[in-house]
Amino acid sequence: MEHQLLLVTLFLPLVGALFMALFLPQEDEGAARGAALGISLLTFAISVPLFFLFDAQRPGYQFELAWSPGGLGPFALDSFGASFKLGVDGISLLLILLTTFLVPVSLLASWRGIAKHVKSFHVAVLLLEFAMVGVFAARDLLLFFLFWEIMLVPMFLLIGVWGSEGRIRAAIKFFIYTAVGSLLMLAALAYVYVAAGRTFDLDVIEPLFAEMRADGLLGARAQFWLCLAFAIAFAIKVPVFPVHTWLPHAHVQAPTAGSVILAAVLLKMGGYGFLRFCLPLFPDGVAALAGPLCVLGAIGVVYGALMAIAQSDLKSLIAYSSISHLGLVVVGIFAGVGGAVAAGHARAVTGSVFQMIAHGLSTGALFFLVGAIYDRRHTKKIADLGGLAKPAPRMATCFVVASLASIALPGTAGFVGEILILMGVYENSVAFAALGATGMVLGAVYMLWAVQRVFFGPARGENARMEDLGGVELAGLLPLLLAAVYLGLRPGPFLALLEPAVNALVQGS
Amino acid sequence: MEAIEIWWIPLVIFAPLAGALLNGLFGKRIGKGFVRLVGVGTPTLAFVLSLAAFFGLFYADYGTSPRAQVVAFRAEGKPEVIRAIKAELERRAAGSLGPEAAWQFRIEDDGEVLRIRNASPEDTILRDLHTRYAGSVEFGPAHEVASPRAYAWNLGEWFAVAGLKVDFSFTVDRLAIVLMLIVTGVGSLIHLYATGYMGHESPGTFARFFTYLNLFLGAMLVLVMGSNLLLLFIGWEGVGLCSYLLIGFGYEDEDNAACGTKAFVVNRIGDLGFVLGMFTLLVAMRGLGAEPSLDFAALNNTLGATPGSLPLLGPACLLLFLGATGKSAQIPLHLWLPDAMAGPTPVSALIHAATMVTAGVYMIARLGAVFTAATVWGVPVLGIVAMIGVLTAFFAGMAALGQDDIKRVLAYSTISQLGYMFVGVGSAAMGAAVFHLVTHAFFKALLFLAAGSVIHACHSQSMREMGGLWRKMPATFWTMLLGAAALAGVPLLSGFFSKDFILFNALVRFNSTNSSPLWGFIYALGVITGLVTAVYSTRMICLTFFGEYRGHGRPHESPSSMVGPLVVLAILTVLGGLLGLPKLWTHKEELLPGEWLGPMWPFIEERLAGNMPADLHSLESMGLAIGSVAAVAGVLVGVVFWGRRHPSEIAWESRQTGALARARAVLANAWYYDLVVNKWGFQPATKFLAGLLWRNVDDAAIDRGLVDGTGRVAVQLSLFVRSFQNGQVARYAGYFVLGVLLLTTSVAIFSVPSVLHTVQRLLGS
Repeated sequence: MEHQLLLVTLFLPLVGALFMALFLPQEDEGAARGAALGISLLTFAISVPLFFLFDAQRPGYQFELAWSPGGLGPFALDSFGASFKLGVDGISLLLILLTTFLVPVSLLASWRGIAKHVKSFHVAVLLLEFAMVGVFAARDLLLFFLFWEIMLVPMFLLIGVWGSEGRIRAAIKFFIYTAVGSLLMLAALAYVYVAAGRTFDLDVIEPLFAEMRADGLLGARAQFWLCLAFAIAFAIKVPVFPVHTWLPHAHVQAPTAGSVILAAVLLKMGGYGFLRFCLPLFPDGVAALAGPLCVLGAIGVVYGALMAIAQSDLKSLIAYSSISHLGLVVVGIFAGVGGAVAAGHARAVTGSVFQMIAHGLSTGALFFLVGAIYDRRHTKKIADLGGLAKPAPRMATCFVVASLASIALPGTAGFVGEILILMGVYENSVAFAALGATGMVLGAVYMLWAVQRVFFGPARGENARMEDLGGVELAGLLPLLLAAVYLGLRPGPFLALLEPAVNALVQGS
Repeated sequence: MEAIEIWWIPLVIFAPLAGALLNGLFGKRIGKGFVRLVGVGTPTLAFVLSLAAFFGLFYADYGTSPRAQVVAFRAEGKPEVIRAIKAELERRAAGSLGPEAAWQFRIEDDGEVLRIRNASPEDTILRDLHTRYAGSVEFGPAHEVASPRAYAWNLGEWFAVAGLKVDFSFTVDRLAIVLMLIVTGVGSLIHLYATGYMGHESPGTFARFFTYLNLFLGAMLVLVMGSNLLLLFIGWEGVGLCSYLLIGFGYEDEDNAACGTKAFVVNRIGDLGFVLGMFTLLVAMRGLGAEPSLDFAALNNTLGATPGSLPLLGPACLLLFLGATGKSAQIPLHLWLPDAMAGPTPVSALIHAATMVTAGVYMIARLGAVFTAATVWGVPVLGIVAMIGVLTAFFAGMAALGQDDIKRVLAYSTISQLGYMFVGVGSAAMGAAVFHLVTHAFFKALLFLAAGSVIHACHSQSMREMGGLWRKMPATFWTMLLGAAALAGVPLLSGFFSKDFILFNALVRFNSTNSSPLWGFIYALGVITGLVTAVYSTRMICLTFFGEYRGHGRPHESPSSMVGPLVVLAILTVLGGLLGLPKLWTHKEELLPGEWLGPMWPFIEERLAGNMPADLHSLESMGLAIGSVAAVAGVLVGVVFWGRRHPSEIAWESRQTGALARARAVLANAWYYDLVVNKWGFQPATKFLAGLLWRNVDDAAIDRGLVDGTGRVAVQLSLFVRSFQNGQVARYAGYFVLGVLLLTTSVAIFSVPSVLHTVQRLLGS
């Protein structure tokens, strides 16, 4: 029963997308919007029971399901050691829930912003959901890689077709950056495949590699290069300084739904990859790379924040804030590697995963709101805006709440994530914790300064006639903001879910 | 400490929070009457609940016996004597129907001390015993109730990760209840006042104001009642948020919003110190092998148990103190508070004078055992706290002298008075600091509300546009006069007793054995600041109420909803001193700082024992005399310079040239600190650095240089390669020959077997 739930969560968006592509009339925009929203809501509804059915006490993967068809001659999956294998632990489960939660929200975010090829747009978003859930659920390396690559296509289209003026350039930049990472990962993947005796099954590879490491068959050198190849692919996705420059372009050009999904889910692929592959498979490689990655992460915290301060475009300001927040996540994942206090590392890694969720909610809400402003004023330039709180109090309230969640005010999810990361990192490295904590101050600078310039002061010209948020938009935004607050006040059950998975990672490394 | 679980304790917090929720959701639609009822009603409910808790605590400790004292026998190195005394006393108490039946015994300190509750040093039985063991036993009052009662309630777990568990649990002990009564009591009065002050606003604005104000009370109560450091931090940042929202309340003027942003950012710098300090405490705890916990009880009991022995405590407490300098506006982070005056006046009274800004003092008092145990390179952290406090008190007091805006006078005055409180905690006189916190809440709230009443009448904050108001606004005048007198430290008013009790404690530190001469400096500067305080208080009263009216319109007295709270606060301002009459006069422990709060920090007396100067009485009378002289002298100076019936007193200041004019400019700009550190320092540096990195590194070097450059190289390379394929067969043949040559040479160099071997190894077979 539970296994089918995971399967349905994965395939419902795909089936829905195919259904829409084949049976819905091209011109009926309302039907396309409604169908896509319905399918994504249903997907979310089906994924929620997974949370309750998951046994937080039990370590390892749950809802596992494997299918390896033979008898297809050269095309049989089992003939070359691949299988259709799914399964989740606490980390992937939370990220899947984040995905299924954010997709309907993102559809509402683009409810009025998308005017052309409406049906195709919604098909693309559903395909993207399919790929994202697949990435988090795959327990087979090849399958993971397939989903990873599939994900690229709808996102490329979302930016390239429905984006604003500079969309083509941004889409290509996004594509090439990711492709470079994928190529390196593919090479490493091939090595792992061969080294593991021609299998892609992660449940086989993980214990096997542990044995090989113990027996000296997988040396530190090999681990280093493999880890590096994976890490570069993931670092680009996070994105870690200095391979981050695709992100502001992609965000600024992408349609609102694209930005929301990009910030909320796609940026989590990098952190997820570090945790899922680098830490358990190549601990010696991680030991060598943790230092440099921490340095880059810490640079990202400060640098991303400073970049955000320098922006004149509201959307790119928020994009750079993501680089700052996710830099802290990278520090949290790696700062405790080889450190003296394992409990500290566990706290920091738990905090990192939680921070990824929190960032998805708060930054998703911020992009949602920037989209709403753009739909009305057709500008994202901070200088063109101002005084919006007077004509649009609901929008101002939501933006302030989202900003506060973004700068980790206690009582929001971001605080729990950030404090756990900093606390855990501090126990192993005071310097990285201190550097990471500067984000607390700089975050307040750029975020509140933006709030001040956009929403406060006198409202002039068109700003004075700003239309406030409507019902559809509130229906998308309020769940995000409420979730951010709820997770800040009752993080317990979610953290409990992460504990076995994180413990396994920390002991393994 | 015995904690009794009481389920309604969290209701004190939930009442104002519910008020905020109701007003936030429905206030605008239902109307002002509803907002007024909810906005004032819920804090009043919280006050009533706090009062109930107070009486509960009071009777728990004092109800069983009116005498309720604790006496102690102390016999160093002779636990057997103590045991003998206890056996004897128990025998005597057993069959008795007299007061000795209520005795409760407890042996402490490795058996060297016997404490007896509900007893009196005058009891004949006890005195007889003392005579019998004379020479080997000391006997006297223990100055404490052995274990003061507390109430607690746990709402459940917040999170638990890798061995660290943090609960939503609240504790109401003797320290918390004092703050709770101030926050809800003075808070309710200010809410009532605000219904008048904000009365002319639109229903939406009115509802928004009370939403924020109630939310603030809720957050402040979380700060005060939380039983662990992280919960205190929720309140700490929560009040900061409300402060931000309320400073920028009139957001249509972007300057107000900018002041709010500044307050939040400066506080965040302090909070950075706060969280790092908190982490350091956790690491120190792990170093002791204790289970990690952020509960105050655990922190104080494990980390505070052995003074000077944990090297990490010093840095930890300094970092926490950095947090306190942010919230409580001390050097170096004081620069936000004067700008916070952009908020409506009731906000200034409540948040930026009476409650929130004292949070730093409260935090240190809460962690009293930890702070008293902390040293950095042999220097006690509390000494540093006291030094920063007195320097802030002086520099801010001087700055108050140069302000024309009445609210800015009061803002600098608040910074200065908070400095005194830090001198108090720094002198390990936590009770004295809290006493001043209480009286300051009375008289400074009164001063702000009275100033608000004046501003309400004159439609200006500048004292240049006031004057001669004492006839027009008599109630405001008389109440404000009392507040200013208390601030100035005029004898017998509340501010006099509390400030002098702090300075007395600094004097005691100075006269202790193994003291530092710096304590003498702290005391002297504290006295000088007292004189300055009296001068600027007098100046403010003279410029506002005497001389000719220099403003516009016809000022008139404020409505009763505003005058009422003024009168109540004025009464409290006058009578507040009764909470801590000096020991010199009463021959008893000071009521609030000694009797009630003393038991919160029982270790302090023990830690200072032996260092105390012999003759406390003469020190105290000297302190009181010096304090009185300073206050009276300051008032006289003020009256001489500003009190003459001149049509425009302030013109006297403006007419000055030369050194005096320069001095006035320095003070008016508060020593140019904000200008240099913020406007010329932090702001341009951040913007410059951000802009520089953005243009030169991110955009130019990385994106257009490295990334696009790689792309251009790839394109050029492909163009170059394409040029080979030009259709000329003769050239193809040439390339072919070249290729064969290269291949054979390379094979010759890296012999064939090694190539094959590498390929094999790569394939893993």
